[in-house]
Amino acid sequence: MTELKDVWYWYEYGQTVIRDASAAVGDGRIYGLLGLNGAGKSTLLKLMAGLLFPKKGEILCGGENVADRKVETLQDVVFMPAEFELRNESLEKFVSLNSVFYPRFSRAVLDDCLKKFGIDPGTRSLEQLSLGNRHKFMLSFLLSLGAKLMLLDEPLNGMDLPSRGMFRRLLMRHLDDGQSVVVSTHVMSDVDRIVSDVMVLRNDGTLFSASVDELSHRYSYGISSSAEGAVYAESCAEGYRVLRRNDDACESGIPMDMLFNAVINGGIE
Amino acid sequence: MEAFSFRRMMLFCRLQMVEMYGRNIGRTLRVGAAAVLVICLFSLIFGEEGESVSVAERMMVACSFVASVAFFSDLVAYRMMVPASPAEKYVSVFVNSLLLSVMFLALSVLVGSAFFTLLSFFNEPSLTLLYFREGFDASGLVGAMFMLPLIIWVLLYSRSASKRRHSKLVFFGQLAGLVCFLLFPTVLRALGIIDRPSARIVTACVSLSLMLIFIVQSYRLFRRLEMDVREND
Repeated sequence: MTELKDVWYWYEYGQTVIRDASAAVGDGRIYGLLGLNGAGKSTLLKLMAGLLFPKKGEILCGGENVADRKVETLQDVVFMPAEFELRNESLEKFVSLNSVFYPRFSRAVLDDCLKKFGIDPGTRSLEQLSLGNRHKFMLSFLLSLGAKLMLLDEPLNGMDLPSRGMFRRLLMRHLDDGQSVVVSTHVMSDVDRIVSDVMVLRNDGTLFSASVDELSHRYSYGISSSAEGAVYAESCAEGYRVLRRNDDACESGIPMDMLFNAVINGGIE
Repeated sequence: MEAFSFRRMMLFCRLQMVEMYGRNIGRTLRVGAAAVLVICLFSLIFGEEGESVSVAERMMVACSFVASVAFFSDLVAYRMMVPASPAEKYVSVFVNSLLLSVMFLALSVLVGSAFFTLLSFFNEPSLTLLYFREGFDASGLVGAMFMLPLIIWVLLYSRSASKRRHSKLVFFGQLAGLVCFLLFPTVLRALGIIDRPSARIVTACVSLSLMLIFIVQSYRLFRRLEMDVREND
């Protein structure tokens, strides 16, 4: 389990991007990390990866402070940034140089992911790959490392539609109960079918975190002619899309965009 | 106690070495050979062939260690996700430097020896073998080994001073003290207090002590770079 405890982060020029954030990333769960542009999603992921250290508070992964950057913790956490460069080296060389640091690396998982994504294992220069293919390769590689926590920042950038579906299937196939994934994305439809939990980073730096199940029991979604009594409402052609407190304890599917807007606009606190 | 695994350190060495110099070995060898030739040509400025060879040898030794600074620069540029401890990364800089120096010197033996041997055909043809010739002074090699910890220490300390972690006055004061300490045996010899062989021994002891101090201090500075919250931005 990864825990964020009262985490604060600000940049030297004074902007506070993470404000008193507390959350728990449970094992075997997939989290969708949502937020507006510039909210601090990438910063939060880097904090969880140990690439940045919190100004206040701490982040624990498996009971160890991520900021200590112990070897065992680094073996358990992998991070894919939104933008990254690959060098002019072959795929096999990259894998042979980097996989040796991870004791749970699985060649079978890597081969399966590469095959499903249509990436040639004999690729001679990773630098020549397109943006989408680079993301596919890196996702395949990170999935094969068997890390307990995978942090993915906009992993589907540049990917075609079939590959986005394949990403979901590979994630469901190769993740085990001891692993967690945090996926930061703007395209909610990419993840709303697979996430078990949602984290929303508001513009003021506060973090909202809840499981999709819990939200489905707590709130109900529907189309109504009136927004009365709704915690959040948006106008639409039929009247209003509304989110109301769920009094009859029936499970109700809530579209991710509605949930996101409700949290951002203060309808759900 | 910080984790240190020799195997992991060597794997990290391999990762760095291949990523920095091993992606295009042919090109790396060509650039290395060109560097050796440039150094040999430069050494000819110093006149007689005997002096040129000696100057070329010393310059190539220095060049091989300076090139190693690239490993260090790569480490401090950003925090990495590679699961290796700061101690393993730090030691890998020295191991890689030694390996790179040996490889560069091996290349320079081939290319440099060929250059000076060909040059000798214009006067008295003779075989010149760099580093293995009669009269080669190995003290240059020892001096060059001292340079790497010094360079790393200066880079780390000046970075720390520029970020106001240390006072610039303290930094320049330490640098001045270092120079005085290094010149101490020379001063003693100039004053006639010790003879030449004793001066060499004292110089060797001073250099060794300073090297150890630089290595330990640099590690502390490097670790602070890796682990300090103030190095976030």
